[in-house]
Amino acid sequence: MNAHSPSYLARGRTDAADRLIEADELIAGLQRSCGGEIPGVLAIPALLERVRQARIAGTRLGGSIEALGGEGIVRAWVEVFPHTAGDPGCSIGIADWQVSAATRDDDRQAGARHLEIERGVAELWARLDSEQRVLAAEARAPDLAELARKMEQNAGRRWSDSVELPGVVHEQPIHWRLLDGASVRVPGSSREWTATLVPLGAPEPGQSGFELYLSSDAPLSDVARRSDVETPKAPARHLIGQNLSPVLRQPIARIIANAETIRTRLAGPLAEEYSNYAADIASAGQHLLALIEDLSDLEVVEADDFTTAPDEIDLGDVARRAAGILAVRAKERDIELVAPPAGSKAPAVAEFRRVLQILLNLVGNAIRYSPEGSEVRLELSGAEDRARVSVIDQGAGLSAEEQARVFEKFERLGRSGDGGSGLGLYISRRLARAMGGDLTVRSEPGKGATFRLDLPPNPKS
Amino acid sequence: MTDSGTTSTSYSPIEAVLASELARGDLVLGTVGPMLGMLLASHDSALFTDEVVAGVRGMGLHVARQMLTAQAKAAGVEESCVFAVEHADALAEALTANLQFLGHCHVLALEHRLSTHLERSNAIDPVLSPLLQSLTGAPDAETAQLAKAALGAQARFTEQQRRTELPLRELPPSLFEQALSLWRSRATGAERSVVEETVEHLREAYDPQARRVSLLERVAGMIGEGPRSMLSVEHAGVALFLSALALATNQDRDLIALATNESQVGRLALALRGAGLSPEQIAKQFVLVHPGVLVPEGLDSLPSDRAAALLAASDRQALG
Repeated sequence: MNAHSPSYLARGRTDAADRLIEADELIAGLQRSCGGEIPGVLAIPALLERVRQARIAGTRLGGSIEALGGEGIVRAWVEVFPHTAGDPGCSIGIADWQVSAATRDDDRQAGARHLEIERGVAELWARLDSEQRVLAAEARAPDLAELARKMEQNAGRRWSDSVELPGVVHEQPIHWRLLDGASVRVPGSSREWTATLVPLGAPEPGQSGFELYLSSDAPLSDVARRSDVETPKAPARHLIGQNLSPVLRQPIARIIANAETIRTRLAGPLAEEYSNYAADIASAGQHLLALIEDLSDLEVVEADDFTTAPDEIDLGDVARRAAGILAVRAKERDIELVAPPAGSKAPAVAEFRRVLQILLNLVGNAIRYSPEGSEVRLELSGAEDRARVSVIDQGAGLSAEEQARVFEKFERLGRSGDGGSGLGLYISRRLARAMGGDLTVRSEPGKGATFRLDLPPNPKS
Repeated sequence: MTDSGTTSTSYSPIEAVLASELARGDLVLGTVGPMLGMLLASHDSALFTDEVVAGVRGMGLHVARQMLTAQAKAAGVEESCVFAVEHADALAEALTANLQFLGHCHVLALEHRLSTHLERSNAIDPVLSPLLQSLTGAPDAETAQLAKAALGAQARFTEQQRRTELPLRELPPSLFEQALSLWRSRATGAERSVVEETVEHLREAYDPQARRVSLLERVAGMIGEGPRSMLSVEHAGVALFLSALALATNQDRDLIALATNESQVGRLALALRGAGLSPEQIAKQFVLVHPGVLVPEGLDSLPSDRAAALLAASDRQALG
């Protein structure tokens, strides 16, 4: 059997640096679920080891590997063939492939493992008494040395006195469970920190005190390491997008997921009203998430260096996709969503993703604010100097004064409680203009509204 | 690898390499039998659990890294950590060839193991024992200060052990000097001034009085006439208990720490009896340290001073 033998289930190819440059889906899928890319360094540890061994030894190597993939534990028989002199890479052949369910740690094991990791990565630890007062502290990072010194000096005072706790609004003293996992700001450190509190003693956790660990997702950069000689950087102009948005997204997504679990009674029977509360929680969470997305988009489009990546696109195609995505929502409100007929085209030069974002916003608004049973239409038109897609609704329409205000930031036209942020149209217009186009509205009260997205036409078409 | 004396001028380079490899292999083969026998005999023993062995290895590496980092800093090497990691393996191997050093690391790992075990099974805090806590609140400022220092050192020790670390400043003076001179003998490539600066720097940071073991010993000695309260694992905590027992029996603390291993039941019983505990009090300690092991019968007929004498007559008075 050689690397080209047809009996292999899957094949792949690596280069001199053991990067996977080509792979069949079986290998590619595992590579991705191990966090790797193609092309990219082999992310499947056992396979990387085999490939490296074969490449260094310069001889064919067969063996079994085991890896944890997305579907479970994969056990495979691999054969690695180093290429000949001119090409320093290897070919990989997979001859057997078995997937079995991964055994999961129980909660206690997972907790213990988590704690060990936390201890391993922590850059400050402290021992606290049962009142969370510091008994001893030590830092492992230069930007925390001052804090550790202060904590030891102020031994006998609560650790939280020496730091800022931006997310905690409770009056002191704070129950330790509220501080476990809290984000912490440390004077003198530009990094964001997370506190881990480990209760000690039994039977009541915490009766003998606590261990405190501070860890950060960000490594101490070279800049920060030299911060004592350089003036600190001016704080970022924007808070949400760069700093908070990734932090907020995860907990909110968790709230939504858990609320959905309760709503759909996945974990067992539940009274109707509680299920409804859970539905409220989930939808409030979704609104919050949408708001965060809007705010971080806002920062992006308002940044001085914002640019788009124009491409040759067909507005008809984008419009049909937008209609497809929102079809279910339209149906829920009994609104007929009419997309441009298949085959109709409006070639333009713009960034596909951004145009889709604008259309989703326009169509989403139309569905949200139109009466039930009405119609929302997407129409294409073109001219010498522009390609246009219009979103036409049969809603209440806008007065001339409202039309003038509707694209302003945070403008809600008196609406509230529907989860809108008042940013969608503002962002959409900024995007349209950044692509060399524009977004305008035509409307009369009582006669619906037409939002028109104009973009540079594609001269080649 | 090539400096083992088997190199002869008559050997070609490949012969020299393979001959010295052969000599190394012979050495390993010579120790396989005794080692395997030892492991089989001490089946299930805490002495050689993976955790303890890994801890010993980690401490050796850490000591090596600290000296190498200091060297790199003195020499102005930009990435001192990288330099230290690159050379740490070889230096650690040389360090752990010293049986006294190895024994000391082993004892620390065992002490930590006992502490975490007792924390889990009996909620005995490895850092903050009732006794130490009451001492930190003592009206006498000096006592309180010393107790607080010991507490801090013990807290650091626990954290270091979790990371399998052993700071140079915690080494006993003789081992500290041995480690320094070993590093020195191997830092042949470094400039003389760099070596001098490194040594000076490391010596400056070393204060034998500030070592955890020194602080614990002073706390144990402070109690003077009332050491009995310290000879309770539950009340004093493992660390202070070991220091107090070592002081009361005039034994090496490392040896006393080793006595808590199940292969050393006799030594522990003699030490406790020699320190003047009654058989009932000894039984209380045994049920914590060795649950399931009965205190040797007839201990009450063994006078305290006879027990101390037996212990003092043991062939083993130090590790290594």
